[in-house]
Amino acid sequence: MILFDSIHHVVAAEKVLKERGVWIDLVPVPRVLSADCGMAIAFHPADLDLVLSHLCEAPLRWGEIHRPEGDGYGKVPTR
Amino acid sequence: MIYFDNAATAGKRPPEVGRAMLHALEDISANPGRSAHRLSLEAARLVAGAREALAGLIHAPDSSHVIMTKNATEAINLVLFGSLRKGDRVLAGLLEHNAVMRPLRHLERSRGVIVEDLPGTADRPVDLDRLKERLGAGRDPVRLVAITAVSNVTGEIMPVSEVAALCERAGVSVLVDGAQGAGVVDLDVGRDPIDALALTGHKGLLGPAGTGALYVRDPEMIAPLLHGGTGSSSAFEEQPSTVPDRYEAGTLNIPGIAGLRAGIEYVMGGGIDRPRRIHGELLSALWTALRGLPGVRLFGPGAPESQIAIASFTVEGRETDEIARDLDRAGVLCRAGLQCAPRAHRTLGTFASGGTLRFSLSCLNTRDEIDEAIGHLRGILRR
Repeated sequence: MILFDSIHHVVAAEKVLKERGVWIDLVPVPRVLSADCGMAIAFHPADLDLVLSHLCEAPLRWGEIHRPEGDGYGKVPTR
Repeated sequence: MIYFDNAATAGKRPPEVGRAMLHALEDISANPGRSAHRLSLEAARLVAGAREALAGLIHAPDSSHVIMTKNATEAINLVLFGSLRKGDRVLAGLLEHNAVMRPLRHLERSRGVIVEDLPGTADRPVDLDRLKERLGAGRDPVRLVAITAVSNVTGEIMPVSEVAALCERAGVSVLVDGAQGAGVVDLDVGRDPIDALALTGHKGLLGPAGTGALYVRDPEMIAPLLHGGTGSSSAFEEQPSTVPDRYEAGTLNIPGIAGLRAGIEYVMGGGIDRPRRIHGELLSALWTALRGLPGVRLFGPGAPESQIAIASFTVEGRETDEIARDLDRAGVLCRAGLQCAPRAHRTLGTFASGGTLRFSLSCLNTRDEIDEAIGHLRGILRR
């Protein structure tokens, strides 16, 4: 799951990833990850590199990436 | 009725604009970025689509640098109040609207900003040689050049590309007021090193009033004008740093933004060449007809390559406000006076006599309307 600081970047990333045929789902940001009221983009963990490569091509800014771990989430180190 | 006051606001809009607004109002009435339900998301997609359309219009490489505002005036205020400090020196174009001059005069008094005239004359409002000299002078360095893309009084197109290039070479920021130019002339922030470009939605873009935008090349350049809720970074009581949220506190005008997008898509459907060509044809017809009337004195270059379809004129021995009143009675709506640009009228020498009569056309006006309006004007001038 990838988090963003702005809904603009969520929907811009959604557009980029859908246009490139990557399976994604827009989901509410889990409260344990952020107090923001917005959306995050969920994707298959195996697509992490693919997702990042597509996002890097666009003028987009994103925040932390997390994956389910046990009852919660674990932060994925990417950069 | 013939509406020739499009420089104030567009008189006609394509039906797509109203339909898009109604759709947003009735079917997507939610707040983007505030909630995680489907309608909020749909509203966010709507805004993002409009932002993309605006970015496409001005060739902005990153649509997040396009900030939604209520008009060009707000966009200009955002830049001037958000970036100028005590002692900063601004060169202001000689044909600037009060949307630029009033904030600058306020900042002169309140912050000690210094406002200078951009070198030029009535016949040549931007003297590029003298501007280059001024920007390169070792003394009194210039912080910002503020210039309109198109004069709202005469319709004259300013050499924005050349000004931006000179400013970049001199390390000076440039703010372009694109209120009259957007949707009529090519404004290209991808090609030209423009630091900030203010746009309004309700003129050449044929969108609704209450819509506008600011493109800013480097968002670090300006501080926000408004602070408040954005839906993002909700745990913090400080304004977020992410663009565009940083500059968009409060709920956006979603129906207006939907209408603006529809207007842009209509106007730009065939590229900028189409409205440009229509403006050129209308200007030529208008100019030729007005020149044939006794006592008429026209202001501006009058050539389609350097002017949009605006004719600003006086009539010897006649008051422009009386002519405008008589034209209104005949069904021709236009604007007499200073058109919120006293600086432009001082430059043109028409300030003391109360300004000009302005016919401002849009790409939805026709040659037949020009013929009819000129017929009425001829009749009024015979009286």
